Amino acid sequence: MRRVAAIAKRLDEIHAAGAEVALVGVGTPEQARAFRILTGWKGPLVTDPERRAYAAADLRKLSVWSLLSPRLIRNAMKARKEGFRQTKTKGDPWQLGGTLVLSPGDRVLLAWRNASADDEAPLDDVLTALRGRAT
Amino acid sequence: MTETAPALAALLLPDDAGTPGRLGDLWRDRPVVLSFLRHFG
Repeated sequence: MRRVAAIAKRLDEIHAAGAEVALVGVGTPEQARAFRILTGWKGPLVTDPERRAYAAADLRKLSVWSLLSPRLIRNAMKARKEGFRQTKTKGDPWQLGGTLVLSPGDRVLLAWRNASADDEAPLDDVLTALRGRAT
Repeated sequence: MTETAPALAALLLPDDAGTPGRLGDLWRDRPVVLSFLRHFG
């Protein structure tokens, strides 16, 4: 949810760069609908119950040891303070996310595969990739 | 990397209404930021 809030804050800039944002999640359409209500997300929302897109994007899985990372614990506490509460996980708790920026012609402008649960592609990098693309 | 986008584009996945769509349609006409979430919730 924290990631969605961060994207929502920069959505106007992303749209101004000529792009759309689509969220992909592991789960059923019902779970995605609940997520949309919870987050207020208005853009495209795709569900991938079998994680086929995650596999095609070569996204990583969380290791048991990474859960013990002091940085992850600090960030989880920070997120909680900011009001982002982890509810019961819907989907695969070991799956890590990522960000791909794709353009017509199947061009990959940016591929960021999260290395840990608190890792995310910097949105400044996403905007740089969008603004720097050849037209 | 060069195979990633075509492999993704060919996937048929449902949206939150349960309607299946070709993933590649999302970036057919303009760029898309595809944000893969860890999970819903």
